[in-house]
Amino acid sequence: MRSPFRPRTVPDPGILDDHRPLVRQIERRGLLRGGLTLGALTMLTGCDVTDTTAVGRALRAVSNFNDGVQAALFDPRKLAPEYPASQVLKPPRFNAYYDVEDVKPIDGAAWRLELAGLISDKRPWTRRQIAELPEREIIIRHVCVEGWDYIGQWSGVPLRAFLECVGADLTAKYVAFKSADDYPSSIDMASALHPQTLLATRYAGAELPDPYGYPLRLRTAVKLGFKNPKWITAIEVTNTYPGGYWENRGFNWFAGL
Amino acid sequence: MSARAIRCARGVVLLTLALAGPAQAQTAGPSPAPDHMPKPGMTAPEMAGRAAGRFPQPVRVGDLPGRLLLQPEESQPVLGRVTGLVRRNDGGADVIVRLDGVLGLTWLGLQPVAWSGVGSRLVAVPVEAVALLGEHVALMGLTPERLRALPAFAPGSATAVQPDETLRLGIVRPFH
Repeated sequence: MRSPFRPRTVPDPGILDDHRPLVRQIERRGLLRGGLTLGALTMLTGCDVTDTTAVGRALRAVSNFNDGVQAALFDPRKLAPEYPASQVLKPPRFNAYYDVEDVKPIDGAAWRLELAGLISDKRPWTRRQIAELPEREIIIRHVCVEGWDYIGQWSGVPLRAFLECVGADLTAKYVAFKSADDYPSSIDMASALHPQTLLATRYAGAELPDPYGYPLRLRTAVKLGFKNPKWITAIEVTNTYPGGYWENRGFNWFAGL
Repeated sequence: MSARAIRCARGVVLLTLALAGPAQAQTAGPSPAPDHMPKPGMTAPEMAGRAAGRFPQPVRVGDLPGRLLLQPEESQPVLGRVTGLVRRNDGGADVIVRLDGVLGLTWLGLQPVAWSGVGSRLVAVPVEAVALLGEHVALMGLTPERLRALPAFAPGSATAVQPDETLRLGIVRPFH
């Protein structure tokens, strides 16, 4: 299938090689640098805008500023919309930074949830111990930063109840997660204590299937999809910024909805 | 609103439709095929082997009709629409897909335009050749060329799988 706007014969790709320096000059980053020198000099005092790492730092500063604004706007009592069970997508959408064929299932019997940081009782948890805690079900929209969404039905222990149970310092700044698929993640304490933030163990009433994070994953209605780590193996409460898999690659950290 | 304004608005709507149609029908040009793209000559056992590795999940058959069949590439072009499932002689199941009609517009680059019913036909695709992509279905075991070369499926020529039955289908992540 061709577009009617695509020419029948295409130019020789060698032309691109011949003019590579020129192409590099007009690429997006060049425009960005130009924009910064024109419009943002007041914000970039002492910053060398011809240095891409300086531009990177400036963008990071803006991103951090946005995170601060989102955190200030976040209302811990406001609930996200919930939906009827008839709208639940079964099975849910799968996503990860690798293909589904590379998912490594976890042995639930050997699995333990490790605790670290500002928590008074750091004894590891088994699946059975977690199952004994009070459970909550939420039917919420999963919104991915890529632009798609679906409605999912998740059950599990509210993260607030778990953190209270283990004697976590609820005045700390961050709750960080480690996962079996090497996908570290972290959220702010206010979002961790939100009533629609769960340590999910079930989907649509059934045990969480392997590719969706068995035996334990985070599911929060107040963050974008990438802030919901699957196959969680450890939780740390900390005041030191922990970052995350995508956050370390330039994504916004707060990523609120 | 004056008659001139209405005429102007109508013109804008028509122009939008004219531009939106071809844009939807286009697909991306050739690019290096990633691992999840269907191999051109994949055999049925190879297809079943790959499907088993995609963590098959239970899905209600009645939830499948109406889903879009997507090509596993970045722009996720629509190849057709699922109409139902039928039982195969070997005990497996085939997904019945309606391929969109062509209306003789191939020479304009508008091959698969969603003109439902006009020039469209049904084909039977083995369930092992597809995977669930959220609310859609992706073609994982056949190239689009092999899909379009499949013989037409005659409705009623095979037993339909009942909507309340549950099948296990592999899953796949988005391609973008």
